[in-house]
Amino acid sequence: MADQLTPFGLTFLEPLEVSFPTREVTGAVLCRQRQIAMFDGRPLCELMTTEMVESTPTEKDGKDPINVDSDPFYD
Amino acid sequence: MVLTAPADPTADAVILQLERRQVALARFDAAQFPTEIDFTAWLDKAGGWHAHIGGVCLSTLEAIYYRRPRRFTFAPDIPDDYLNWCEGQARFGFWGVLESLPVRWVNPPSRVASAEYKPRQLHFARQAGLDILSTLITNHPADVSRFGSDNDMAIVTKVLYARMPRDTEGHPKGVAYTMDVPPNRYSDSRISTTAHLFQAKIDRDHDVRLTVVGTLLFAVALHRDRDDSAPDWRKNYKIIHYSPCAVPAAVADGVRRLMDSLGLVFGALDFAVTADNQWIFLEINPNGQWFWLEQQTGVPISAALAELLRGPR
Repeated sequence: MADQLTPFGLTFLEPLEVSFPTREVTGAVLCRQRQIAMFDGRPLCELMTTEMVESTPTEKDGKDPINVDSDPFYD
Repeated sequence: MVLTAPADPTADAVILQLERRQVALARFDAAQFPTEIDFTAWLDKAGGWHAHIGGVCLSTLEAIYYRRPRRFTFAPDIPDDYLNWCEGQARFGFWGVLESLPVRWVNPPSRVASAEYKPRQLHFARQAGLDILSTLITNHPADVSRFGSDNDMAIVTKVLYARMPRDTEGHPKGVAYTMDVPPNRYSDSRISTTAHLFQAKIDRDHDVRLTVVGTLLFAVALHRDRDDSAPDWRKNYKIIHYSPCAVPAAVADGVRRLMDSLGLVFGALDFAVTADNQWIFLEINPNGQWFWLEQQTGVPISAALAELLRGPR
C-alpha cells in the first residue's frame, strides 16, 4: 500500500483535551414541562461552572462549531 | 421554537430567560425526525403553509432559535447506501419548510452555512470597513514562500473547514488551532493537497470576542500572559483573563454593516487588538459559543437573545 499523504493543514492536528462529564451533566434529564435539562430539581445551566459547560457535547468545541456533529449544512 | 440537542446548557440559559418572560415555546432536536416525531407541511395554492412538527402547529410560531440540533436519525434497517439519500430528503424537506416560514430566525441555517466561508467573511468585513489581515488562500507552496518572504513577516495557518476528520467511532481525531508556520515549512509539498489559508501573524496586545445579538454588542477582552504568543487563545483557556470592554464606534459600525451583509442577527466575532487599540477582524462564528463568557463576566447575552426571539412588544 502506498504511503498515506497527510494534507498540510492536518499536520497541525492536536489531540482534543479529554473531558470528563460531571455527575450533574451525566445525571441531568430534560424536563418535558420546562424543556430544559434539570438536575436534582434545579436547572442544570444554573448549576454549571465554566468547566462543566465545556464537558457537554455542544460546548467542548473551542467555542465555535468545530466538533459538534450537528449541523447538516456543514457537509 | 428552539432547535437543539437535549444536552445544551447554552440553549437552556435562553429558555430560562424566555420562561421568565412567560413566552411559550417548543424544543425539538432534528435527531428526533423521523423516528420519534412526525413532520407534515402542506403548501396551499395561495402559498400558505399548514404544517406541524411533533404536534406543534407551525402557524403558531413567531421565532426559531437554531442552536445545535443533531443530525437526523433514521430507522436502523435502512441500508447504509440509502442513508445519504434519506438525509438529503430530510434536509431539503425539513429545513426547506422551516426556512420559508414567516418567523424571526436566530439565525437561518442556510445563512449560518454561507457565513462559514472564511474568504467571504474577510471580503465582506473589509467592505464593511473593518481592518483585516493580509490573507493568502492557495494550494501552491511557492506562493506561500513568496507571501511570507516578500512581506518579511511571520505567517500563521488556520482551517477553512471546521469539521475535523473522525475516527471509526465518529469521534473527532483532534483539533487544528490557528498555528505559526515556520519558514522551513513555507514550501512544504503537502500544501498542494488542497486549499489552505495563510495570514500574517499579528503582534497583538489582547483578543476580543464580540458577541452580536440584534443591534446589541457584547465585547469581552481576553488577556493572556505576555509570554504566551500562540496565535489562538483557544489552546489554553486556563490562562485567559476576561473583562467586558467598550467597542470603538468605527468598529461597531463596521460590525453592524458586516452582520447586515451576511444576513445574520447573531454572531460571535474574533478580533485581535494591537497595543495602539487597532481592532483587526479575524473571523465570525455565525453559531459560535457565548455562554462561558456570560458565566465569566456576567454580560447578559442570554437575556438579549430571549428579547430578540420574543420580538417587539
